[in-house]
Amino acid sequence: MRLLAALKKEALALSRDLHALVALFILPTVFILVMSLALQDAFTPASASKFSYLVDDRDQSGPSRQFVQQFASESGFSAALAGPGTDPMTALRARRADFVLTVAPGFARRLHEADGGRGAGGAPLISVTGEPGLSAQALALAQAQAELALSRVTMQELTRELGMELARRDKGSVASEHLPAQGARLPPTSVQQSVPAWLTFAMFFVVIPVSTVFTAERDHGTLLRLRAMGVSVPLFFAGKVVPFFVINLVQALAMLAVGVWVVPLCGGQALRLDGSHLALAFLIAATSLAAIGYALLVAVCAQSVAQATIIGGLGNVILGAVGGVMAPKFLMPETMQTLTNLSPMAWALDGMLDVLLRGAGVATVAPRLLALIAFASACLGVAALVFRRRNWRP
Amino acid sequence: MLLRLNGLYFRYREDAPWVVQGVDLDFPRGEIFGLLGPNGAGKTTLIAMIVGLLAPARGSIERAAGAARAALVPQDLAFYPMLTGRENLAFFGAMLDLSGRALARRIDYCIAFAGLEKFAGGRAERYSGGLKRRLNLAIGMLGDPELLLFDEPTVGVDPQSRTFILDAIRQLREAGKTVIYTSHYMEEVEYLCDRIAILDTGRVLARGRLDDLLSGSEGLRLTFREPPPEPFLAALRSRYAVLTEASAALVLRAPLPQPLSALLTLAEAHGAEVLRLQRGARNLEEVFMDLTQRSLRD
Repeated sequence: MRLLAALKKEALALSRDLHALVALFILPTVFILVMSLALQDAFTPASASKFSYLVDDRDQSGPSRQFVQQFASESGFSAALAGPGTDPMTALRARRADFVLTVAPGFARRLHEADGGRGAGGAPLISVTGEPGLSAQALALAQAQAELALSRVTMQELTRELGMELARRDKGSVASEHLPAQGARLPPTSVQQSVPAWLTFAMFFVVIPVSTVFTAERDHGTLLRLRAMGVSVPLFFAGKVVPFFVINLVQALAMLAVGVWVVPLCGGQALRLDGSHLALAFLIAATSLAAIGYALLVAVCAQSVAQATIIGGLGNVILGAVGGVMAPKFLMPETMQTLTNLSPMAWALDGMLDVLLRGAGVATVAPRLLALIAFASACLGVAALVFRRRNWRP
Repeated sequence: MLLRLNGLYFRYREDAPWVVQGVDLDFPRGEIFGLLGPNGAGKTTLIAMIVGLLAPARGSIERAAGAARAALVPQDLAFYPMLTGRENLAFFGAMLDLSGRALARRIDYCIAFAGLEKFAGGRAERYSGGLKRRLNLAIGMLGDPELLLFDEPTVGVDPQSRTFILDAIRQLREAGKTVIYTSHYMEEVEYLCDRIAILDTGRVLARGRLDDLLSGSEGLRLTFREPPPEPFLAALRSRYAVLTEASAALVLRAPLPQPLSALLTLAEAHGAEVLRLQRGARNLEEVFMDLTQRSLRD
């Protein structure tokens, strides 16, 4: 009954605390929506057809035209027109294309040279010039396609001169795919990174309501009253852990629902929950315990509401940044990727990604579950010691 | 006797001075006992030891049957401002292991006792200072305690709510409850308490029934309905030795050089209406000053 009363009290207090509601539910929902939509392209393979190009053929020979044709037919990029009398570079500066493919003068002649037509100080046979905003990946893709087209033209020229027939290779000769997840083929999407990331971050934000309520209880004499009423330290702590555990579960369900139903409504891809649901549930529960343990430790150590808010909020942002919430771990350099292992948010996030992307089960995520539970136990233990020493000592 | 304190000592750190030193007090059942003293006298610490929040460094506390059912009404507004009055009562009632109909009945009783019927559904953060104090009192009543400890319950309260709270505490005595009441407002203690202990720097300076503590002076206290006119005061000063003078009260040295009837005639002639006349009496402020050579509000 006492725990039920504590649960009801925290739920009522939270429902009337606009700041806490924003921090726990609204902010992560907005982050999930924005980041899922904003990072969509970063998580999908670059599509050449989205980029357009102009051709500046300064050789105007048979092989140079053959090269341009080869590039147009196989690169997948969209050819654009500079307009009559317009210099392609001028058109590029006017952003009428994403890059310019320049065929150097003497292309046909230099094609057969042993150094690939690039003598000492000589200009390259083909140049790819991107507009300033073109991503490095797109530029590299264009360069690779140009090199491919150049190789083909060179080979065709050579075999023609030798009187040989070149074996045709279709586009389908080389295939690429992701390793299938257990039970489901699941390519990574931005929503599958964003939902677990911001869900983890949101769960850790219970530090704000936990610490502000606790500080108010201590400063307003409510702790004193509860002690005088015979409430024990374990009951007091359970009165914090149980309600916020339930609140974390509600958060998790809400954030997953946003990923599954709301993100697609806004034009993004839907979150797919194809992995082990049991493993995901265990991970959410362990993350919640870790978040509440951390929150209680901050709460008992802070001397004021302002201190609790600053330590808790700032600590969360640091744990989130280090843990790969703000920027996905795979985008980080190797040293930073190693550093993420220091953050419990990373343990939670990596576990959830293992489940959602790789179809991992309970056994696979067990080490991360244990790490989160150990972190929660350590935080709760230290918090109880500090609390007993500072607030509950007779 | 409901409670007996035997030679209590307490300090917050080993190297700190004693906050309570050698306190012996008895608390009879069914009385209001006032602990009077300035800030820092040790009243709150003593209360915390009685409730069990602090353990005495030396001495002991003897509790009779019933004293275990004690409730503290702390100096702070110890409840959740975001919750309504009723929700607060429901939460604290559950913490006392009350549930179901028993809890509902108790909540209704406490709301009625504290006069919160019209306000119980509103959020506590929107209450006036007086209503917040009443809610604080109502929460203290939830467990139907035998012993209630009030720690400065009228701080920051408007006169109307203050009267309400003081009357409510008197009702508790009529219901057979024992009350320990700390304050540095002498008027409240004089109004409420059957017995008093005056504390300063952690020591009991005086203890006993209120009448006993206030008697023993050779003064004659005159209390007027309104501050008397200056010509009357001038006439008094010329004929009597005026020991102390306040706005509507003054103390003359007794025995009087003239019959008492002459004093009353003089007052009537100047339109000064005498409300009360006490012989051989002094107030708690004077008692405290006699004991410590300083004012209670210092």
